[in-house]
Amino acid sequence: MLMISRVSVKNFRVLKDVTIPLNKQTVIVGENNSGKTAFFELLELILSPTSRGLQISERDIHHDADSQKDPIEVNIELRPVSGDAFTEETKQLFYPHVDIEPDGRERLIIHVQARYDPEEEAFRSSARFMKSDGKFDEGGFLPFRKNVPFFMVDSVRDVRRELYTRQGLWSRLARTRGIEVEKMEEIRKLGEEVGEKLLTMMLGAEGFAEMVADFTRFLKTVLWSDQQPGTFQFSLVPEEFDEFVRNVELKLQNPGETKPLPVLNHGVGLQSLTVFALVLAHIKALGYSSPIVAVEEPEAHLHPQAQRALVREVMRNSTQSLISTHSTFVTDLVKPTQVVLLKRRGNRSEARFVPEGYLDDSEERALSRYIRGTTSEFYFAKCVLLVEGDGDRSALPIFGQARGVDFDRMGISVIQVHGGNFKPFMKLFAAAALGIPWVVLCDNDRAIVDCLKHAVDLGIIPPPRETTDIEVRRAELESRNVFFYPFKGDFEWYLLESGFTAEYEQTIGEVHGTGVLDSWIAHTARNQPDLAQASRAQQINLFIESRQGGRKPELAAAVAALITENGTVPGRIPNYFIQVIDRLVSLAKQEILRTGSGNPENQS
Amino acid sequence: MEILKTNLDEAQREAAAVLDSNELVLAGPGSGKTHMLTHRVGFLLRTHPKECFRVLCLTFTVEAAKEMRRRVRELIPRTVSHRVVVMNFHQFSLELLRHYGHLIELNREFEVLGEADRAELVEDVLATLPSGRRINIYSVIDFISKRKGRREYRGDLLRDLGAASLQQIFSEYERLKSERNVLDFDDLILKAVELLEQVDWVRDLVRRTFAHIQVDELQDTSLLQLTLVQLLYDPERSHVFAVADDDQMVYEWRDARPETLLEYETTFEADVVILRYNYRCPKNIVAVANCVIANNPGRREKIVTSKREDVPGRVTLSHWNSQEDQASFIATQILSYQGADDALYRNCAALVRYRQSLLAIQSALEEYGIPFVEIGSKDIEDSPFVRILMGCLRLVAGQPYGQEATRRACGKANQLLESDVFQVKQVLISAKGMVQQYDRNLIHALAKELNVIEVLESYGHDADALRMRRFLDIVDLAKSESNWQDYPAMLRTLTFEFNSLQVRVNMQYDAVRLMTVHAAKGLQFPMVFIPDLSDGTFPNLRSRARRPNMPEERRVLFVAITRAQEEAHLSWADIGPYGYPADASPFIDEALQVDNGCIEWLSGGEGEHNG
Repeated sequence: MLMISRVSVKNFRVLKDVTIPLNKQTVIVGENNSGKTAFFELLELILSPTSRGLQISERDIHHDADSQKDPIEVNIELRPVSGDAFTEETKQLFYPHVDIEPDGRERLIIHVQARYDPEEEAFRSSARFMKSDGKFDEGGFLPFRKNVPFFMVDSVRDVRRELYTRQGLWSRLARTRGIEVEKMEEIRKLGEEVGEKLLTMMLGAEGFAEMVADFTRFLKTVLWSDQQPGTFQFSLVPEEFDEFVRNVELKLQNPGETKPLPVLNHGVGLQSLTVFALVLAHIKALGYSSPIVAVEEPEAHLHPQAQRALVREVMRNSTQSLISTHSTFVTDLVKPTQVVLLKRRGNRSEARFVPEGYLDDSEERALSRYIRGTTSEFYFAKCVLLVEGDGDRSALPIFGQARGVDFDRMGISVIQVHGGNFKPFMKLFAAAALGIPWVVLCDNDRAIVDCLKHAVDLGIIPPPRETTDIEVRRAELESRNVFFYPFKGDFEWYLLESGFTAEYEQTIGEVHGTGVLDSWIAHTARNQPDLAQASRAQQINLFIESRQGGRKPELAAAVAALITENGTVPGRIPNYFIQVIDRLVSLAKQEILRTGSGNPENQS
Repeated sequence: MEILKTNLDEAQREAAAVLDSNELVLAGPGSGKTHMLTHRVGFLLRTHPKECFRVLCLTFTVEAAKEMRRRVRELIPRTVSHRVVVMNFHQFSLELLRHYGHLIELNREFEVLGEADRAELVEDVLATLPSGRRINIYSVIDFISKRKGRREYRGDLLRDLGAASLQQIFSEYERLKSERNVLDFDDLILKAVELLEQVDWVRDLVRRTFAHIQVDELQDTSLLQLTLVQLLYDPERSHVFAVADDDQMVYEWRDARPETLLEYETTFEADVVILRYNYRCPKNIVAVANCVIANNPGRREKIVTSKREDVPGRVTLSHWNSQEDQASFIATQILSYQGADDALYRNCAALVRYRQSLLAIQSALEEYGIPFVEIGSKDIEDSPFVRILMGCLRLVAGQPYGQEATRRACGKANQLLESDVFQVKQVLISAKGMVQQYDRNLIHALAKELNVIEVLESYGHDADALRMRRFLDIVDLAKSESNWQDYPAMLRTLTFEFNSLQVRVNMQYDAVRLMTVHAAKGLQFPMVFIPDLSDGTFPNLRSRARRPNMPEERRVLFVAITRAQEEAHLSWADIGPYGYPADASPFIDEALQVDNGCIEWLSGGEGEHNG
């Protein structure tokens, strides 16, 4: 039972210099061309027991690297799935290459190097075991490769290839199992009988006999002698065993359908699932009970529920699973510590992840809670806006739209952090972890005091000087992307104080019913005489606070739509939101520029 | 079980089928010990197909390991061949240190010194001594070896130099070694034992991996080697299986000890099984061998019966006036044997106690036009011309000492040729010119570039030229067998397996084999000559002085006689190999105690028939 715990790569395609730690379950997220496929293919070339030789070629060298001076270098570290020690079986299988670290933890290190050798005028690659003293073991890794149960399912789940070609899984499965010679003979006999029967039905008994006679006569005259004539068979079964198995058609009949159809006649999703089933069967046939499975984009062609079910099934059937994806339905299933982001930076990729021990338990729990309850969309974001309330979350994209900023197209995700506990998110998105730029929009209340403290704790801003007045530090905080409303209070209060009471009254009328606001004020004022004296804005604010049942986002969205005439007129967007939106846009653009892959102007 | 049933006799089968306890199989020559070991491996793997443990077979020599590996491979499917590790004690230790030496602060890229390299290192050590006293290099090596073999040294060197100087030599030797990052052969086992003793993790790893340990020729193992086996053995999970013949213990001078078998029995609580059949030697040969060895005290009684019924076997005894007469007798016997159909020179072997005895025989064979090869000689390895090439190889393999080794070899070569034909600078340039790229043919290319053979022939050094040719043959053989990836791997094979390669190169020729009895251990020949059975030679003087009963010398003779598959010719001459008058060996009288008709007195000398 072993797993890949860490992979370092230099000069392999777009992976110029990255180190990627891997968990029992790891989900790899990245835009197209960020190196996900390169990473998986690299693992397959080196580790897969069904690979031949070490097929790294000159084309795999990073295009800026000098193929002589900067070789492709890969270190793959394998560790026990649990605990510090390998199982006895693993030790026996890999003797004498198991390494022990000074702290007593066991591992295997596979070092691969590939470079152009000018003397031999050839590209040479080698895979060896390495130990903690930095030196290599004698002998290569390849003879031991059969002990690494690594399998990859690439994104092209081509049922045609897997079922009908010699290299396909179906044929390989057949070859793994094989069949006894006598049984194959039996099948051949059957094939001949059926072949004859078919021709007899086609030509009639007489016609068939005539054809055989014609054939025989012809060959007798040109080839055979009368004494020793040959004979004919009309077999329906091919000679070669695996060709024969390839001709066995896999048919599926979905519930409700009238007859089974070949897999190829079904939808792409079903075809894709068939390939998965074949892979799992193949792994089992080869005798591997604890496989490491790498899957590219399992979501392809599947609806969300099927995506989740498939990913769970892959995880259940493997000791370690590595999954690359573009789907939040997949990233939703794992913890932030199990996610690796691959980011394109110019002509190379960077890997971003949460280092071991970086988050404490409560932070990890808070993040997982959020992902479970909401979404993990932020992994795919160029920039993240952290807000406290429902109102901010639903209204800001509308204000953005009015300002000509499509949050989705810019890759801006809005995360609503209940209770204003921004710290886990600020940590998660920091450069030391996922490295996603963020902006905080905080209520101007107790929360901003906590937020300031966290920002100081995390080294985002320097510790406070003499005064504790938060307003004194506003400029400083805003320059570090921490915004908080100009007036004491939250999103609603900011809008009301900014003079949008009429918009609120109209919207409350639509959402809660006409007259509900005024009758609530009249009713409540009986017990709280102050309410009658309060400003209209205060009255509305209290009313909104009193409503249970989560109509706040609806209200906020409606007000924002009203202010901006459905996101089309920017003229009345409250000033502070403009600042926040502009900051988001500038951060997202910087991020796009850093990838070097696109023009940010096209995206805004 | 099938594999055992078809190939082993009942006693062998019973012993080989026991997998869950420790065993000691005592058996004489030709009893199929190796056969049993290999079949037991096959049986083990067949009965445990799903498991991953490995079987470790430890042998005494590299050659024995090679042969056993070949035979095991014939018995098991290729897919499981990685589960059998057949090595001699040194190879196993080397592998362990190469992979885990760093855990006892060893630089894993160390090189292993060959015997000749070691002598040079000692030369360097002695050069640092203040006194100008001449000290025999080999006695120093002997001292160092024995000190490392954990045995007290009783030699004369102590008296010559005094303990203090010896201590100084020893520590300087060790210092130089670590400075050059080299280990000598003795270090290998010593350090492996150290590693297993000190690092629990490695011990546990090795024990878990090798659930079964088989030891060949247990009687020849030293205390250190036995300690190694003990460390590999885990009472909770592993099993040991050893085969031995206490009558064939002939390496007392190389630290084998009579106590080993008993210690093994008690340490591992081993059951003892005795095999009683000799499948190699015919009746008469077995009878004579048994008769001689019966005189050894304290041996375990094994009544061995010959299972060869095709021929009765022939043992002759003859007495000659001179070395030359004895040698002519051998030559004529070989020629008369040659007369028979499909008889070949390679079927004949002369086994001697000391190489000195071979001189007269070699002249006689030359005179009669009979081809011969000398097996186990150090001539090739020690030849300075060969050492020039080895020095260059060390150089290109990146060993820091390579340059100095080459320089030294050139010096000696020139001295021998009384010229300065091998210029160090030129040689080094040639070698370095080839370092650019890895070339499996490096040695041949160098020999050609330096014109070694032509030079030697033009200087009339035909013997050295022949040695050089043989060396190139050895390189060819190594090349055909080894998967050389780089120069260090090449150097390692040539250093470590030189002897084994040399034996096999020589064995390729259809020629009479000349060798010491020790070198013949494990081999067999249809016709065997055992000359110079004279007092002071066989047994030698020293063992006669020290142990009046001469048990080891008698065992050596026992080994010699039991090499014979058809004929054994025992003889002695009035003049010994070193030119001194000699009497018949006391062993001759012992042999003559055999039943009537087993020994045939040959006329020629002044023979008389027994009985």
